[in-house]
Amino acid sequence: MLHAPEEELIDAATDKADTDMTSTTPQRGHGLRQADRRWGRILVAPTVVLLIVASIIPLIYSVWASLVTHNLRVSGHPFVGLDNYTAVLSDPVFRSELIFTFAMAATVTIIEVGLGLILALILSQRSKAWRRIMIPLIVAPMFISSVVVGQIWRLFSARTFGPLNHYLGLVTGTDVTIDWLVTTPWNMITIAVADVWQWTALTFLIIFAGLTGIDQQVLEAAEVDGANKWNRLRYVTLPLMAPALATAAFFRFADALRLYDKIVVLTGGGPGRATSTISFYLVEKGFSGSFNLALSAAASWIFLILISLMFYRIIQRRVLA
Amino acid sequence: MNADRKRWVRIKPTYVVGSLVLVVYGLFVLIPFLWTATIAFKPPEDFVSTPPRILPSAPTFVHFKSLNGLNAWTGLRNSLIVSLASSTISVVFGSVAGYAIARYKTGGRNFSFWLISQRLMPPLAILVPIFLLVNTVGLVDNLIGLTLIYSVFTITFTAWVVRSFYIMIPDDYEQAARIDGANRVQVLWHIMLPLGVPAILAGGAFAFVVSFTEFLFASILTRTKSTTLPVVISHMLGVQATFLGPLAAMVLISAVPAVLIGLLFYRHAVTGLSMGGVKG
Repeated sequence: MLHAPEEELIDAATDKADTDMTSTTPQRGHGLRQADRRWGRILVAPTVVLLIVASIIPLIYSVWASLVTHNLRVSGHPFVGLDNYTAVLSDPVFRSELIFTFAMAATVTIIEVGLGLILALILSQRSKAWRRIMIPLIVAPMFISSVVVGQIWRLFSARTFGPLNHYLGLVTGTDVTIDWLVTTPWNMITIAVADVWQWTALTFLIIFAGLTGIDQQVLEAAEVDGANKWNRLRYVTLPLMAPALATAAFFRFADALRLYDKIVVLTGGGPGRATSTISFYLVEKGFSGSFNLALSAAASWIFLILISLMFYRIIQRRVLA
Repeated sequence: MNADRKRWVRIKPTYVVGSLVLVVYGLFVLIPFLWTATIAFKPPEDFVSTPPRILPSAPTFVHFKSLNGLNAWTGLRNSLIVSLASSTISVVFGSVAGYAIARYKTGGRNFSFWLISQRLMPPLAILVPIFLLVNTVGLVDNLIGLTLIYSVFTITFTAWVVRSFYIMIPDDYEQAARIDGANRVQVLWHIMLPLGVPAILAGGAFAFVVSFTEFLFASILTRTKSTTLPVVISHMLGVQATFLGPLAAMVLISAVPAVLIGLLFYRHAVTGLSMGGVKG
């Protein structure tokens, strides 16, 4: 009624002094705004307290832990400056696991966004019946625990008891004896396939939502102008889809960097450390051997800083835009 | 209708290829899962037969019975308790926070940014200090410790789902009630929260699924009596035939409830899991 449309309110809120709010409720004025603000803060307070206790304080603590000695071999926590950081950075294991983490995350992100786009494009043209069957089917795996997803694929592909090699043999007409969980690169492929199986669901949902949000009139206009199906896809649909594609890629990549649970079950990070991600490094340094929590904390900060540098601008530009 | 049919005839080859892609992808999703599902009902001798036996020779529930000795039911019970408790905490606090962010712009843009960075921060960045914190207060291997951690992990995201919903609700409802003399608490309790029930339920459902499926923190923060189902399942790494049946049964009791709850609310999953970024 008296209020501006919601979009304007959001815009107004982005300005530090949200003057729009007052101007739209002129007869109530400053006192109301103060009371609103206080009520808003009361409602947000429990969430903020929980986040401070279990997220901010631990983060600050881990800064401290990364700057001291913190393991079972040394009593007390003498300050060592950046020694833990240099130790981690000069550890070839850390570097190779960091590279594997980013490479695996990038690979599965590209495949999942591509596959999600293809499935979304096809399904957007389909009848309700198709959608009613296919969408739950595509989406379902993302609700399964990653550990369980790992076990499902282990049961399916393991050379000793899985049926995969047998049926691949039938299809190719040769005797297939691939050790899907042990031999490189097959073990990496198994991990990637299991991840695609689980998380194409998410990229599909984001892209499909973006696709169904496209104004049909734009496409019809292009059709009237004589653009064929391919050109409409190439020059109208895909450019309009860019934000949804970017969002899907961004969130999937951020999550894929945490890849751990599936690998624990599928390969245990091996053979050797061939399929260990950065999470393995943190868990092994901090929670086994001498429980070197300082090294683990330093490694997690290096990882976190790397990610923040990559993500900060993207969040500012895309997600909050 | 008519135009649809014409298009169908014109693009028949693409339609066929498209259908093929959908069917192949559907099989890719279904087959590994169905394979596991059949294992859960197969007698052990079926596991080692060549060629692989697709359907059980004699369906059996023996593997589900054997779960008693393998901690699986305890794990399931722990998982259910922790997930229910944490999603309740998360949804109670998260939804009022989400409402405040949507309606009063509490904290402004910086606060929203902070919430999203919480969502994007890899939880393992705080694994070490969380462990020390939980250890200090003596809650390692205690369901309360895990419950609190999960509430915090999911609260940003329930807040965001609920926020995305209230952003779309016009102010008129509230203004009208306020003019009628309702105060802010009454407006929230009698009007806005009932309106938001679908989004609040969805946020709670996803918080439940996230907690029900979490592994990394559960594996660090539990030892024996409070292990959750994913931790129990992660220990099932044997290759003996006797091992596979119980493992498959565990997979089913873990996957089926989570998938059912997830599918009830998947329409909200986009906002939940991408935190409303689609519009960006």
